[in-house]
Amino acid sequence: MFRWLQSQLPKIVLAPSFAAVTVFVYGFIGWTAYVSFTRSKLLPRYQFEGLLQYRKLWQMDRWYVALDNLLVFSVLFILFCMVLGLLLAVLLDQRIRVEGALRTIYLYPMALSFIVTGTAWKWLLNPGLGVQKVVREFGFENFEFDWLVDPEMAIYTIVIAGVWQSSGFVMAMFLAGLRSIDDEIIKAAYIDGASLPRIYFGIIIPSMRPVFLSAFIVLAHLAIKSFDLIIVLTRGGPGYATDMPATFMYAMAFSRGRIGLAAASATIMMVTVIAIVVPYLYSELRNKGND
Amino acid sequence: MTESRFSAAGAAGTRMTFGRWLLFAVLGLFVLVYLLPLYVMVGTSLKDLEEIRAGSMLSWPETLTLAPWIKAWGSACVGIQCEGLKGYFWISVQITVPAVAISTLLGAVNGYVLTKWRFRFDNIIFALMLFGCFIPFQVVLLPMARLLGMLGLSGTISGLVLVHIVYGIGFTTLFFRNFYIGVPNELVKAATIDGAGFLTIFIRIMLPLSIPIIVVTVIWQFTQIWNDFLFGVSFSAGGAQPITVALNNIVNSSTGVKEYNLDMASAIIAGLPTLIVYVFAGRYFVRGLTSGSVKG
Amino acid sequence: MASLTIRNLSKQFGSTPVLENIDLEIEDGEFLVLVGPSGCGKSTLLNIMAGLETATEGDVLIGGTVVNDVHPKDRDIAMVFQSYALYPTMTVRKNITFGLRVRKMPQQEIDQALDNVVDLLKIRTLLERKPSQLSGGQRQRVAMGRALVRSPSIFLFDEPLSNLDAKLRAEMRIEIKRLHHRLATTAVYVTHDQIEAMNLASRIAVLESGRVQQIGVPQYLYDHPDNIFVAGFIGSPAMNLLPGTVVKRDGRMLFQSDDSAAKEIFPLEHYKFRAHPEEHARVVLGIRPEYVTLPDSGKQHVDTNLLVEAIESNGFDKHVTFRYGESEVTGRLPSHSDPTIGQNMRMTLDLSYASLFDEQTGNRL
Repeated sequence: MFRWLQSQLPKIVLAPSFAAVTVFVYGFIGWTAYVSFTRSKLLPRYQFEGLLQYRKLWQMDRWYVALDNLLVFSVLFILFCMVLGLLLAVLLDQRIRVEGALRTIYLYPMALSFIVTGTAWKWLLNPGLGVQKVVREFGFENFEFDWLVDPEMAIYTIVIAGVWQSSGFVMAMFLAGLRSIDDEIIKAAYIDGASLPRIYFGIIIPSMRPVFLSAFIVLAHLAIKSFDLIIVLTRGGPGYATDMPATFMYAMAFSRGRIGLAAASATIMMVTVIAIVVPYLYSELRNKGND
Repeated sequence: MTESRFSAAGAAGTRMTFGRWLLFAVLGLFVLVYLLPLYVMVGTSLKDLEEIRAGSMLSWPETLTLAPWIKAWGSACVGIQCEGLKGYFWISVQITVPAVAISTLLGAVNGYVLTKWRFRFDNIIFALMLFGCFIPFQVVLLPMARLLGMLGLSGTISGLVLVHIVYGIGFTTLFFRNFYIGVPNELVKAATIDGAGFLTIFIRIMLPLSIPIIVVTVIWQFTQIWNDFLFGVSFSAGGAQPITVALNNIVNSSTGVKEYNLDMASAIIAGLPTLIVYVFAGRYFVRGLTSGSVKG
Repeated sequence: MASLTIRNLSKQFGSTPVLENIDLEIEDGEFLVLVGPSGCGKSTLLNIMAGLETATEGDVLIGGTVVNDVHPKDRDIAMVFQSYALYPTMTVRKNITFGLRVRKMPQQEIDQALDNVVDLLKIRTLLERKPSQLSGGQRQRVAMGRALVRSPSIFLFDEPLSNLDAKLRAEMRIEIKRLHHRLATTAVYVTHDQIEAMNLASRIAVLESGRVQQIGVPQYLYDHPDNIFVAGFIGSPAMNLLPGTVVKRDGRMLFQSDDSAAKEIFPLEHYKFRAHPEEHARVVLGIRPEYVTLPDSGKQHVDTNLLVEAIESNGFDKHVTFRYGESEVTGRLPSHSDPTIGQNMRMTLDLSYASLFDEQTGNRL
């Protein structure tokens, strides 16, 4: 008996974590998904009601605004982060003596909470006293920058703050990817007479496809989860002009007492993330082989 | 310093050519871009309100006062209470330290089991645990809120510690598992023959050589948990709130005059711990980021 | 000191058979080498002997007792690994004494055991170093020290020299042999290198595809391989294998080679047949390179012309690759002889230690 316990010890040790994940991840997902099919408002009701919450969701203007914002934000956020990250990575790859210091500077925003970052940018982009005032002091007297309170433009302030925060991380990923390319291929190309840009565009960047994919997945993931930054920068406003699914869900769940609706929005967020991440994970685990 | 791949082939430009100048100019520009917000934050936090309103955001403080800092720490109003951030700072510490310690320990022992004591379906179990890292947490907020309520842990530090442990296990297990894969299995075989059992091998052999990954994991977890806002704001209504929630309250408070210097000082106080950790141990942080994502 | 017996042992991974019906009797004090190509199952067999893996069927006996369910630490064995497997964060001293400390042996006995081993392997000066500060050869010594310090009944070696460079390998080989001579402990040694096998073993067991192909004293395996696989595996450069047919003339058994233009006939009168082939049976004749020599008149030989295709010198002699019809034949010439590529040379094929194999089954006739 004791011997059997001994041999099962590894599994016993793993069990609590696995159980926790089962309950707190999969169990909870199941609960949320189920509630999204009920009439729950302030309290959960467990009567299955079909797709009524989803129908309500797709009838809400606010939800469409949230989705639209998510799309705009994601595209710009991912695009700018990747471009900036790649640019900085390529520049840093050029044998600079102070590379370490530069890397530290480009990356430190990642160490900050989104709330801290948001606070800083909220001040920097302050309509009266921020960027607008500074540029006017440079002589451009009619410069206006009130994006933060402009329903049309507010979403772009979130893009700015987000890119500032996360581009360093993308740079670090790309730099690691650049450096992992076999030196000898580069040397061979150099001896063959290829110019520097040619080497970059023809050899290095194409072989970084896996890193691009990883970066894309991480950024997409970050974008969908955006919550902290929005809350502190604009609180979802003006009105709900900068709402995104995450803030929408939070409002429905904790302020409006419409948890069925909140569950539906959360479930949709979940499905979107799965659709992007699972195929990627699956192919990664497969490629890593059976160890 | 790092060698560029071109060094052997004759270094594409250590001489200061035009290209090289341009390179430094662009890099320098970005240094400004990244440091500007920090500079402005610090500057603003040291000015009094009049100077802020009258002067330029970019100017170095003339008045140079520590009053905002003192107020932020000791008497700023968060909601109804006006006791400053110090209480919240301490709450964040009480949440972060146990959560980091426990999730790291669990990650280590899980990674050990998954790599050195293989069994049927362990790959699937790992995949299932890993998946937990990727879900948007919105999908667990509601049930977790209910569960914490039922357990009497709503708005408590313990409740948040539990939450952070549970949702941190995925990452920590990933880090340790990827690290332990690189540790030769023959070490475990040799120790087995030497007479060591499951736990002895873990404590006397695996842990001592895990220092690099422990550092990475601790830094990663510390940053994630200290900086968390979503769980903090969702599960602490009326109770123990971490400093990120308090900061948001200060910045977005709708009452009274907007005290920008107070906001900035508060933000810096809230961000200082993770920033300090980053400055001193940043390369481990980077290693954590890249090893977790690039390698998959 | 103990004997080790493997009885009717099989191992499957899922549905893939890795070892089939293995029977081995290793006597007390023997140095048995398990040799075979990668993937033949030899490491798995060693792991099963150690108790690190369990057999699907069959028994492992140590000193006459069945130990199938006995934990490795209770089998009184020690193992030396290919990658040394030294504990990276411990000093040499701690590495070697780890097993003793886990068993809670009294400190005095630990010190005594350490003392004995350290001088035997000449590693006293390394005691306070960490593995990362040691060279490959030093690490291997420490790994052996860890095995020796417990004075086990059986030593298991899993390709311990494969990570060393050629010179070091040769030195350590002699070292291991000397140690075994001194300690006379039963040892099972796994390697893919047949030179190590030939040099170290009191007996060799050749494994292929999970089965024991042949067991015996090294010289016997060399002179009388049981099948084509063993013939080609043991000995370097490899045995020449010539396809052909058996013919009978005037009551004599003869080998007619496929390759020679003249359809050369090789007399088989002095060959010790185990099984008698029929006339026109397809067979393979095996002749080792050292029996392909410059013209010599011995007992039973065939003289023929061979075309030189490649020459390798190692200082001691020359290995010359000849073309013989469709086949390649390797011969050994004295170092000061002077073959040239493209040259047609008259060579003697000495049949004294030839082997004959059935072409289909591969078994020795």
